[in-house]
This record gives sequence, structure tokens and C-alpha cells, in this order.
Amino acid sequence: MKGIAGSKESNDCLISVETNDKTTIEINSIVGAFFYNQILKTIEDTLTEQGLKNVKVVVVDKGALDYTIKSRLLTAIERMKEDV
Amino acid sequence: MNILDDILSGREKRSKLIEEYLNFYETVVSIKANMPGTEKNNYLSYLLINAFSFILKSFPSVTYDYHQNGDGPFVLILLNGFEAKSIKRQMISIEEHHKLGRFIDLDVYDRYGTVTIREQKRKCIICDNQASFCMRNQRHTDLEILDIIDKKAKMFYENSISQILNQSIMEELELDPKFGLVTPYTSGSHPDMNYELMIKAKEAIMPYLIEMFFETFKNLKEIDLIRNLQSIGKSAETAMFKATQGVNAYKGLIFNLGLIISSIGYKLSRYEKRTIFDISQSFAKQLFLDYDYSSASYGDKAFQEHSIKGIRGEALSGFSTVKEALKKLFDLSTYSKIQTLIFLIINSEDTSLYQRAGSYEKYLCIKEMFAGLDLNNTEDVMKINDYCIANNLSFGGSADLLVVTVFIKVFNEKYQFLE
Repeated sequence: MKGIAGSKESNDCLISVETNDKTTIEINSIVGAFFYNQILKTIEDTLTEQGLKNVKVVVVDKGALDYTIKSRLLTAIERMKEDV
Repeated sequence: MNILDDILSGREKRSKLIEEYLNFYETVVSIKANMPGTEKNNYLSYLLINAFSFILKSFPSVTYDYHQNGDGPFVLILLNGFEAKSIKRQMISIEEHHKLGRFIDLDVYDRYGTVTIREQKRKCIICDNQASFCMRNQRHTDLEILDIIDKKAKMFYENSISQILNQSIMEELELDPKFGLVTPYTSGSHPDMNYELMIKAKEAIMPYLIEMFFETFKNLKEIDLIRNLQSIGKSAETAMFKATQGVNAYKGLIFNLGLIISSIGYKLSRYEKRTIFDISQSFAKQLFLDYDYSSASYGDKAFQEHSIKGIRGEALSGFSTVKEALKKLFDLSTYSKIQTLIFLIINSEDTSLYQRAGSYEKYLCIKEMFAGLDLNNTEDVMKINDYCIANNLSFGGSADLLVVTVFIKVFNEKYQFLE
């Protein structure tokens, strides 16, 4: 099962989530040098909040703010759940 | 949905739309405003994308798509047979050199995604840092950034509109021979006017016409906007009469050009697919909703007796004569302008001619005379010119419409109206 949300436009991010045998988070960000940890924390917190484990999250970030990242991740999760 | 969801879903939809277009086109160029904050559909977004609509003109017979959603307005130019990298280079050059380039995103997409060749990252609008860092850190408030965009966009349009305005009034004023109208060489049939006086009147009215343009950016009900425009028009008349010491040089022009400039401002500052002619017609209808034609002015008498509706009729028709005149105005040569003026003399309802002709029969007879005139026969042109001056004739209404026609033509060469 897989869900994708977002775009590669500036100030946005494209996030994909799919079921996996363990939880992995891959972040590729244009502002990664400064914000990698902050982005990672947003992703981890959101996964915890949703009680979601064993997913592979891939983030292609073009400078999105935290609420954008969170919102894109939530939509991707929703889409993953709908994906049969 | 809340505003943020609206923005995010709009951005996603736009990106999906581009992907879909890439199934049919090799390259997609996107024109989109770089707008901070949550109000992505404010007048600035529209003014910005319209400031870059000229890009459409650089591609022959271009196909484009104009949309808006929660993330704001955007134009997608759909291309086949162009090299994506070279287009991207052109777009970067525009972003770097245009006065508003910093506030626009000109993105190029091909089937591999976004085309990038920019070495240097874009700088922040306010400070010298890399834009994406300031954005991520929210170093500057939205208001701070919006304020800068607002100032720069208004300055850009003020310069651009003043220049076109000045040019179109001068193109008419400098035209000679002009059948009784004021030119640099003659006062024609207007002993109370001359070239210098017309220049003074022009200088007096221009700031008000620009004010009308700006007034349309406001988010008002159409009827309230009309009332505001009307009051700016009144101030323009007062300023003109003060500059000319009571001579009516451009009252008709304030009305005609005011309506057209307002229609253009209205179209450029919102998601508006009607043409400027349709907008001007709708404005005119509201303006004359409760107009009383029983006054004693020549215009009203002309209407009562011969249903000559004059400039009101022209505006209410959505400037239908001007639309036709635009087809006659091939360029701004003297020949082309005189040809267009004559077309307007014959086809528009000129109440200033009616007033000076003295009778309806003579009014028609003079139009007939112009209809039979061969512009290539210089001698005949000079004869009719002398005749008009000797008989104290003039065509103020047609001259105003010539200015309007030139204005639209010049504007159209610099901007493309999005539909």
C-alpha cells in the first residue's frame, strides 16, 4: 500500500508513504543542511501521533514549512490507507 | 476546507495539471506570482502575472491555459518544438532583469520534471540571504514582504500606464492635418485653445486617470467602484478647467479613457475573463442606470431629436466603434492615424460635430463628405481640412475615440489580455 501527496514546487514537498517491514524515513531537502533534524522531527511526531509503524517515508522537500510537511504527510497516509 | 488546505490542494492540483499536459506537450512554462501569506488571490498576484503576460507573445501562435485556485492564479504555456533548456535560460533572464522579476516564478517543465540550470539560488526579497532559508525560518513577516511587492508593483504599473497614456494623447495631438482640431501648427476651429493649452490639460488629467486605474484594484461592489471612479473623474474635470482657465479641452476624453483605463485595471487585478470592452459596457450601464436625457446639453438635445447617443452610446455599446477602428489602425504612422480618425468621424456619433454643424442634415452631409474622401489625394485632404476650419467644424468626440484606440493598441502591444 502506498500514498503520495504534495508537489515539487518551491515551498512545498512531495511525500510518499508505503507499508514496510520497519520504519524508515528518507529526507532530501534543499534546506537539509540546516533543517534536516526539524523536518525529521515533524515526520516522526506525526507518525507517532497517527500511531503508525512499519512505513517507509520518502520526503522530497523544496523548503516547505512544518505545517505543510505535516499536512502533506497526513494526506499521503490517508491515500495509503485507501490504496488497496 | 480551511485556507491552508486550500492552498496545498491548489498547489497539488496545479502540479498534476502540468504532469497531464506533459503527456501532450514537450515543454510547459508556468507563470505564477511569488506571493507570501495565505491570500494567494489578492490583486498583486494578478497584477504580477499580467505584467509577464508579454511572454506569451514571444511564442508564435501559442497555446496557453489560464487558471486560478486556492494557491493563486497561474498561466501554463504549452509548447512543442522548443528546447527546454534554452527556454529556461530566457525565463531566468526575465526573472533577473524585469523590474518585478523577483516576485514571479517562471518555471519550465519537461517530462523529466522541473528544468533547472540556475547556479545561484535566488536571494531573499528583503535581505541578502538565500530565499529558501528566510522562507523556512520565516525571518520576515508576510506584511513586510507584501508591502515591498505592493510598492514595486504599483510603481511599475504607474510608470507603464503613464507612458502609454502620454503617448496616446500625444499621438493624437501631434497629428496634422486634423480638420479643425488643435494641432501643433493650428488652433483649427478652436480659437480658445492651442497646442500648449492641450498639453497643460493633459498634464492636469493624467494623475486622475492613473488614480482610476489603481482604484479598480480595490475589492468593491461594482456599483460602489463606479461611484468612486465617477468622483475621481469629477476631480479630473476640475483640475483640467483650472489648468486651462475654464476651457473644455478633454472632458470627453476623461470619460472615455477613464472608462477604458478602469476596465483594464479591473481586468488586470482579478480573475476576470470578460474582455475590457465587455467590462466597460457593464460599467457604462451602471453609470447611466438613472441618467436623465432631458437636460439642455447639446448631447442630450441630439439624443432627443435624432437619437444621437454620443459618447454615452459608444460606452454603452462596449466601445463598438473603437473595436472596429482598431482594425484600421495598422500602425502609428500619420497615414494610419488619419485613416482611423476619418473612420471614427464617419462611424461614431460625434455630438461636438452635431453642435457645430448646426443641423442634422449638415451633420450627415459632412460625414458623407469624409466617406468620399481619398486619403491618397493630398490636395483633397487639404481642401476638406480648410473647409472644416472655414466652417468652424470640429470633431472632438472622434478625436477622443482616436486617443482611446491608440491607447488600447499600444497597451495591447505590451501586454496580452488573458482569456
